[in-house]
Amino acid sequence: MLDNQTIQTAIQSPQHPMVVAIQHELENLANDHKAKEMQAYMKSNQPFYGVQSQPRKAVIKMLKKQFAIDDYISYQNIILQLWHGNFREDMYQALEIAEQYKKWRTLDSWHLFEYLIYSSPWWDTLDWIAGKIVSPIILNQENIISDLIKWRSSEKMWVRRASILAHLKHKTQTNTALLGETILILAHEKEFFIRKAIGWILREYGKWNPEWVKDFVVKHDLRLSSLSKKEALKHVNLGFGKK
Amino acid sequence: MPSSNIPISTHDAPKAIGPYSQAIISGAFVFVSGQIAIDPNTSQFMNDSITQQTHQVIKNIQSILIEAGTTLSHVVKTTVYLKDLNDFNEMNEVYALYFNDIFPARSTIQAAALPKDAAIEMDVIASLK
Repeated sequence: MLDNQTIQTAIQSPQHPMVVAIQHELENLANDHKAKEMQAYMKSNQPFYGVQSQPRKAVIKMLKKQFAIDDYISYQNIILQLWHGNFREDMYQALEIAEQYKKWRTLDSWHLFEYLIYSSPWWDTLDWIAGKIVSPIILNQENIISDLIKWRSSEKMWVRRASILAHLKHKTQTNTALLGETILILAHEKEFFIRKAIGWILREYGKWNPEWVKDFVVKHDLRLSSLSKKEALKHVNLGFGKK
Repeated sequence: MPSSNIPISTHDAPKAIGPYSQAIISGAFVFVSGQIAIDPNTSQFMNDSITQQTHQVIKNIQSILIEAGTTLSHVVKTTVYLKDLNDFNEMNEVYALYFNDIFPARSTIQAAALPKDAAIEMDVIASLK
């Protein structure tokens, strides 16, 4: 994970012009009514501009043409400065940039992405990082297995959730041994977001290997919560009870 | 064998191709048979580097443990058989990726020969809780 000095240096450096421009555009688009709705939906104390996904993406698309990010340090600093902005949408824009600049959306940015996982405040940011940014880059990357295993026992619930959702985009190449083990280790938790994530990942993998999911749910019926099982089997027919 | 012993069988690990089980649950423990780097999807031996063979061996063990309802984090004892003890460091690097909390007890032995001329075979004992 990124060391504290790197993070502080990035945050305390003069704001990157792209960060200034992004925040300026978000201020122009701000909507108090939507901000209150979005804040309530996320049950957050953090302020919102009230700018939804499509206009936020349009801002990034426009500013990408004006500001070339030519080096990794700029990429990292822009993400960190936005991540530590005052408004939730600053964090969203950090993740847009992390996701869209594919040149650096690689394992070379692992420490940065792991920091974002560890400092994620809620499901909106965590699911984005784990599912859309981290999951695609760790496919078949066996050297990061030890980090995924450590995540499972983190004191931070969102990090434990990330250990499940990191498998989200692996389709037929899912490491079922590691995923199954992760689920069994976390299945006892009463935490809603863990149980929901277990159901989600099983439902997702069920699109590619319904037999494995069916067998897993039947085999570990007593270990899995009702919520996890209900989510897991949404599109998988257990094959009994109906003719 | 006492009737309280329960054989374990899963398609997610190489089939037992002789008079043995992939694993046996006995009391509070599961005893996993020695695994070599056979891909359960193809039933083919992966004649690959010691690093890749070790990953596959541990994956096979993980899958058998899941079938038994337990995990690598419940392993209390491992035995590692290497064709060449000079492979120890590479094996150990992979091993440490999977066992990074409380390490199980371990024995490592150089074997004169292993099935399929494998570079590594490994068996484990794990608790069920």
